[in-house]
Amino acid sequence: MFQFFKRKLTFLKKSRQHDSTDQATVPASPKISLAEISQTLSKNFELIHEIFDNSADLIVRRFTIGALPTEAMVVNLNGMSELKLINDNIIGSLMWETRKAGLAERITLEYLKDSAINLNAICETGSMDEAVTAILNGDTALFLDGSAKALIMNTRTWAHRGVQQPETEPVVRGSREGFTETLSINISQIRRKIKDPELYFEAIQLGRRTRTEVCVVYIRNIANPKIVAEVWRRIKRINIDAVLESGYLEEFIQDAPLSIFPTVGNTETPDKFSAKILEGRVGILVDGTPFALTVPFLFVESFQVAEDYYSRSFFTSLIRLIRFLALHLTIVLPALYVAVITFHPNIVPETLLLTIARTREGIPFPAFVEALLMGIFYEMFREGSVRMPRIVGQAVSIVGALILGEAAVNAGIISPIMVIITGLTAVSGFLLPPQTDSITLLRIPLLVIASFFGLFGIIWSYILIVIHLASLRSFGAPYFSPIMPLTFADLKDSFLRAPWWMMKTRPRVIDWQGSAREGEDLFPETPGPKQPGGQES
Amino acid sequence: MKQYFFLILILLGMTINVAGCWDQIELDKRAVIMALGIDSAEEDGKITLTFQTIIPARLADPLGHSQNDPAVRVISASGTTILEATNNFQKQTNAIPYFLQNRLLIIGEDLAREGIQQVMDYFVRNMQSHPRAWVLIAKGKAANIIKWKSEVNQIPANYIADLLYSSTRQAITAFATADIHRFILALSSQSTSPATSGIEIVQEQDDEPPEVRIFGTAVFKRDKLAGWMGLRETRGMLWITNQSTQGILETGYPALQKRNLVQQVTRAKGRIKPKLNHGKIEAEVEVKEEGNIGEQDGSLKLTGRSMIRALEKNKAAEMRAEIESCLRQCQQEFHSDIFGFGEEIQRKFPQEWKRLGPRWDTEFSHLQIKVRVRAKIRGTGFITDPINLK
Repeated sequence: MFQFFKRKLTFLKKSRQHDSTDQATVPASPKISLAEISQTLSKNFELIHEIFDNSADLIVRRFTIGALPTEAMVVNLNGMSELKLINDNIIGSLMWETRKAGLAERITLEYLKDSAINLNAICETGSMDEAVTAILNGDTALFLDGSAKALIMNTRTWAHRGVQQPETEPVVRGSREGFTETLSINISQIRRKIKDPELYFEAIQLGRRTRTEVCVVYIRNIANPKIVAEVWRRIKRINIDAVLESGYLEEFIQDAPLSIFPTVGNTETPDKFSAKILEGRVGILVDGTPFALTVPFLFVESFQVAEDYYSRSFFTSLIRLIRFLALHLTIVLPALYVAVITFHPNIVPETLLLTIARTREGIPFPAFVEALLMGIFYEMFREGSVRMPRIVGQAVSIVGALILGEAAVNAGIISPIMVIITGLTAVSGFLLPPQTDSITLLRIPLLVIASFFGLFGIIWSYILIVIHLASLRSFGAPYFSPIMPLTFADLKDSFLRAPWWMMKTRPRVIDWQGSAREGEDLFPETPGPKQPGGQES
Repeated sequence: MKQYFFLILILLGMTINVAGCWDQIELDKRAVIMALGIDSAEEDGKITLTFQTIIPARLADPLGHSQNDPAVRVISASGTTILEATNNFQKQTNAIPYFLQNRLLIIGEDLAREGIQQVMDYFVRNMQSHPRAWVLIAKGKAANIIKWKSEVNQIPANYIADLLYSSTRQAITAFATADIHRFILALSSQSTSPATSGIEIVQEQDDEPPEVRIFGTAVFKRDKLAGWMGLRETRGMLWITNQSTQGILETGYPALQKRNLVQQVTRAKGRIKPKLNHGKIEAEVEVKEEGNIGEQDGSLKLTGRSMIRALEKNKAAEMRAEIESCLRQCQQEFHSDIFGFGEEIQRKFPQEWKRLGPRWDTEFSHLQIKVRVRAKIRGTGFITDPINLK
C-alpha cells in the first residue's frame, strides 16, 4: 500500500515538472497572434471584424482626416471606454484640428501621436495581437490608412464599485477603506499609503481568455529579490484560460498544495496589504477581486490583525494570547470532551463530573455521536447563514438557535454541556479567520481519533500537526517561525505584541534586505518639569 | 530517509495499540463510586465491601428543581478478597463500577485490628482508587458510616471529605488525615506506622438525626490498629510532623489561672532532629511557633515586655504538654512510631540504623526524646488593651 502511495507521490512530482517545460510553447491565442497590422485600412477593418466576429459591443468608427483626406478608423468596446474622451479628444481633435491645420502632405501616425491627439497615455504598436488586447482592456485603437501601425490610446473606464468598508476585515480603529474589484483603484490606494519611488508594480496578463491584469507589488530595497524572482517564476508557469479571482493564482503558486494549511495570505484592506509589503513581503493584486495575496505567509500571521498595530500594545498582547487559546479550544475542545468523558473521567474534578453525569442522564447518543452531530449541524448552519441572502439568513440563525440550543436540550436529545462546547468551539473559531478552513478540517478528524484513542490519540495528533506545520515553508520562509525555528527577534510580534518603539527590525524570517525600520532610542521621553515643554509644578 | 518514514509511521501507529486508551465507557454506563467501606464479614475470613454510588438523575438541578433525597445508592457485597467482593457488587448493579473518583476509603475497626495489608495491596496494585481518597477508620462498622445520610449534602461522602479538607485548611480542630497515597507510604516504610483519623456516628438525642464526627486518631502498628488517640494528642502529633501550622491554644494567664486566655497559632514548624549522645541515639523535637492573642476573658493589660514573655512561656508549655502527652502514648502504649523518627535517624545515622533498624519496634519505646518549643507572640489582634480597660 505504501508503495502505491509512493508511486502516486512521484507521479505528482513528475507531472509537475512536465507541466513547467511544456507551457512556454503554448501561444496565447493562435487566431490573432499571426496577424500583423496591414497597410491598407480596409484589410484591418475586415480583420477586426473577423477577430471580434461582429461582437455586439464592438464600435468601429471610420472617418477621414486632413485636407488630403486620409481614411482612419477608431475601434473601441462599448461600455469599456469613456465616450466623452473618444469624441472630444480623439475624433474631435482628428477631424477638426487636422483640418484646421490644413496640412498638404499626407498625415502620418507619428504626426497624429505627437501633435494632434490630446491624450496623455498613448503608444504605437505594430501587432494586431497587442491592439486587440488593448481594445479588450477598454483602450481605443486608431488605424490609419497607409500605416502598418496602430495607436493605442488609454480611454479605459467602466462601471465599478466605489471604495467601501471591507466586509471580511472590519475594524474598530483604523482605515475603513477596502480594495475594490478594479486594479487601478487598488494600485492608487497602495500608492497613496506608500509614497516611495521604490514601490514597484509589475504587471502581467494571465488567463488566455480572461486576460486578467495581475500586478506584483513590492518595495525594491526591502523585498528580497530572490523572493520576487520566485514569485515571478511561479506566476509565469501558470497556464490557464481564466483567472477570475486571486484564489485561482493562490492554488498555483502555493508551496504546499497538499497541505490543509494556507501558505499564501490574503487581505482585503490596503493598510494591511501595505504593512505586509513594508515588512518585506511581495504582494499580488489581481484585477476583478478585492482580495490581494501576500507571500511569504507565516502561521503566526493568522494571529495578527491590522488593528493590533493601531491599538496600544498591552491590550493587543492580551488579545493575542486569547486568540492563541481560541486556536486550541476550537480545534480540540469537542475531542477533549469526548476523550475525557469516555476514557478518563478521573481527571475531571468530581463536582464537574457529577454535573456532566447528571446532564448526560437519558441522552440517547454516546458522547462521540453527540459531538459529531453537533459539529456537523453547526457547520451546516454556518454555511447556510453565509450563503443565504441576509434577510433569510436571520431565519437560519433563529432556527439554528432554537433547534440546536433550546429544543434539542429540552427534548433530551443533546446534553446542555454539548451545546456549550459546540458554542464555545464555534466562537473560538471566529477569532482566527485566516485559519478557519484548516481548523474546520482538523476538528472532526480529531474528534474521531479522540473517540477511538482518547487523550493519547489527541496528543499524537497534536504532535503530528506540529511536525507538519514545522515542515512547511512559504516562499523560503519557515511557516512555523518564529516558534520553529525559534527566532527571538520575531517573538516580539507573535504571542505578544511589543510596542512600536521596540520593534526595530522587520520580521527576520522574511529575508529582507534592509532590516531597520526605525531609529534608535525611540522610547518616548517625557520632558522633566524644568525643561522646555514641561510644565512648572 | 523516505523508507524510514513509513517505518516510523508504523511504529507510531503501534504505540497507540500498545499504550493507548482502550477502556472507552460512556459516562452513563459507569457507576461512580464516591465512598467505599470495608469490614470483616460475619463469615470467617470474608470481607464486606459497602459502596456508595451516585444516582446522577437525582442530583440537584441548578435550575432549582432540587431534591432533598440523597443522590446515592448504598450496596454491600461480600467476598474473600476485594476483587471477589467487587465482582459480587457487579452482580447487583447495572453499571460498571468506577473507583477513580472515590473520595473516602473507610475501614471498619474489626478489620483494622486484624490487619489491612491485603486491603491496601489491592489499591496500590490496581491503581483502582484515587490516591487522594481519604483513609478513615470507623469506630464500629464502616458500613454504618457509608450508609449515613447527610442533611446538607446530597452525597454524604462529599460531606465527610469536605469536613476533613476544611480541617486541614482551617486547622482550628486538626485531624490526622491521611490519603491512600500517604497511608501506603507509611505502611511500606521500614520504621514508620500509619495513623489516620477515626470516625464515628453520634446521636446525642433520639429525636435528632445522627451526625458523623471525627473523634481522634487511629494509630497503627505496622498494618494493625493499635489504638485510638484523643484530639489533644493528635495535635501533638501534628506539631511534631509539621502537618499542623495553625490552631488555638488555651493558655490562661501567667498569674490568674481561673481566667481564660486563648492564643492563636498562625505559623508553626516542627522538626525532628536525631542526635548521637555518647554512642546513644537520642532525638529532639523542635517546634518553632508564632501567633497572636485570640481571645481574652478579663481585663488584664497584656502589653508590656514581661507579660508577653510570660504568655509566650505559657504557650510553649502548653504545646510541649500536648506533644509530650502524644509521645508518651505512642511510646508507652502503642509502641508505634507514627512520626518518622526512624526515618530521620536512618537518614542521619545510617551506621547506627543498621543496628537499631531490625529492633526499631522496641527501640522506639526507649528512645530519649527531648521537646523544645520556641513560642513567639507577634501581635495582640486589632486591639492591644482589653475593651473594658479604662
